[in-house]
Amino acid sequence: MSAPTGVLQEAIVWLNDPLTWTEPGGILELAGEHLVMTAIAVAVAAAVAIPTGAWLGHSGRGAGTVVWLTNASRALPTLGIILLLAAGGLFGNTATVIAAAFFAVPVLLVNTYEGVRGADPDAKDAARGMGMSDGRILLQVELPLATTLVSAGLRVTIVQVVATIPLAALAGGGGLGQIIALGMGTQRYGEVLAGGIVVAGLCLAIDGVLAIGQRLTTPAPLRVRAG
Amino acid sequence: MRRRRATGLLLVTSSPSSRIRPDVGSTSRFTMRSVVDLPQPDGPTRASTSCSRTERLSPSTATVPLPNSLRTVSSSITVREAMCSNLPGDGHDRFYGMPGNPWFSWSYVVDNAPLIWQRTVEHAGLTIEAVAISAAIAIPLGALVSRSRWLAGPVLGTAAVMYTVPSLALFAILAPLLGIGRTPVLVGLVVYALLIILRNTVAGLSTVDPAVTDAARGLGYGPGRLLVQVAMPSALPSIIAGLRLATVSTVALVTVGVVVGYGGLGQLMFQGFRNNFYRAEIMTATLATIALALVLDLALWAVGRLLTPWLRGRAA
Repeated sequence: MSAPTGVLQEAIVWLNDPLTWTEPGGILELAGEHLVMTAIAVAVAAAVAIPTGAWLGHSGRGAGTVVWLTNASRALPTLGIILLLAAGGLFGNTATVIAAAFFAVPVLLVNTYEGVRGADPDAKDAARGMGMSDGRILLQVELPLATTLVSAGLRVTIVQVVATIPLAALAGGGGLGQIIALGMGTQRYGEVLAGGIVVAGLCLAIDGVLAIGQRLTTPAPLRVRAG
Repeated sequence: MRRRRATGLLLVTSSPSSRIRPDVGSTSRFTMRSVVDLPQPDGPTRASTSCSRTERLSPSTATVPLPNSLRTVSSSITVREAMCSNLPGDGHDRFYGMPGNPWFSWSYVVDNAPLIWQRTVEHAGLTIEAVAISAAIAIPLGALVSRSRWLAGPVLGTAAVMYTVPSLALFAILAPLLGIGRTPVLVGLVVYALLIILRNTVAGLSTVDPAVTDAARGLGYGPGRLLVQVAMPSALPSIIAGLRLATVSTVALVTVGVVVGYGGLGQLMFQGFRNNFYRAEIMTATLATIALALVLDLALWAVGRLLTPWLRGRAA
């Protein structure tokens, strides 16, 4: 193995090569694939978790289940789940999207649940007194009040999914993790380092963009509480 | 499809002829799709054919070659050879007796008990060491941060940024700099556990009743004694909760260390994946990881109970 400085130099050279970015199967294409997979996984997770969380929060049922699910999901090894899905016949990208969505659900669920549950009881009482139905209370009172927590949950979820998808490369999937897996396989550690930097950079960039987006989408009166 | 940049060669390996290629540096991940249809290692018809087959197959199934793939594959061969050579004269019954379920195979566990145990010990050792190091850093740092408000923002911010970096990327960044093996995984795990413990320490110290602090100060406690004898015990439940959370997520994270060749039970999962989707191996390793997380969590819970006897009467 070469000296660390050599590896660092290799990584810099690799990252500075325009071909690295633009070739077919280059960084840009892989990043695109990565983001598409993220979008699908987050959409699936949101479609499952937000309605469920909202309903559970509204009815006040299942608090124990939600908490248990969140804690249990921490103990599950993501890699194991991806490999199990792959061994079960679901290859590469599909397995990863499913696994990523699976791990995204508890985070979104608990945030939606807490948001809806924690909506000001006075506001709920007032809404009921004005004759609103349960559905209207949920949609027009509780969910808007839960915006802060739901958008925070979405941000955490998206970043987590972006971070999970690189593991797909180990199970033959796509995305930016491929650079790391291939570099490890071919013992070109410069590429491994560069791949790590690219993935980390993508994650931090997305987190930053989402932090701004989160601030913009949160209604002004709720911002103070979020701070 | 991934093109090899150096040669510009398109690596499409769709035919089984790729079996005899050397396994480091020249296989692509497509090879493993070409061996999907080969027989399962746990469902052979004859003991003799099964052993030689597994032996022949192993190198070619090492499709995402890791630096240590040679070592892992050869060790898996030895295990299987040992399995075969240990058979009594007529060993067929043992193989015929294997359960049909490919996911849960008790005979796999029995046959590979020493290996599973070794990986579990590795896994647990790495987890405990990582959590202990981060606790040794994070708890004093948390105490320092909660004393000076201007430090809190930058320190917690830095820790949060480090936490955002995906584990695979962090291991990939650390491995070339620190060398393949245990060190990069340990450093990565410490970084992740750091934020969790730090956050809980700060949160715990901020909930200390100001009246209690005032009373202690009035009794003449100095800042050091105040921290150790008054603030820390009050913050202990929160710190223990942080340690438990950090331990559980560290156990799950260790498996990712397989990418730099030191993943504890993750090593077994990945080996099973490469060994022609040996489902029992992947499933066993996954379940063992979860069990390890539960055991360590319970142990810390018990330690927490011992350390905070005054909370025992109350509802958890």
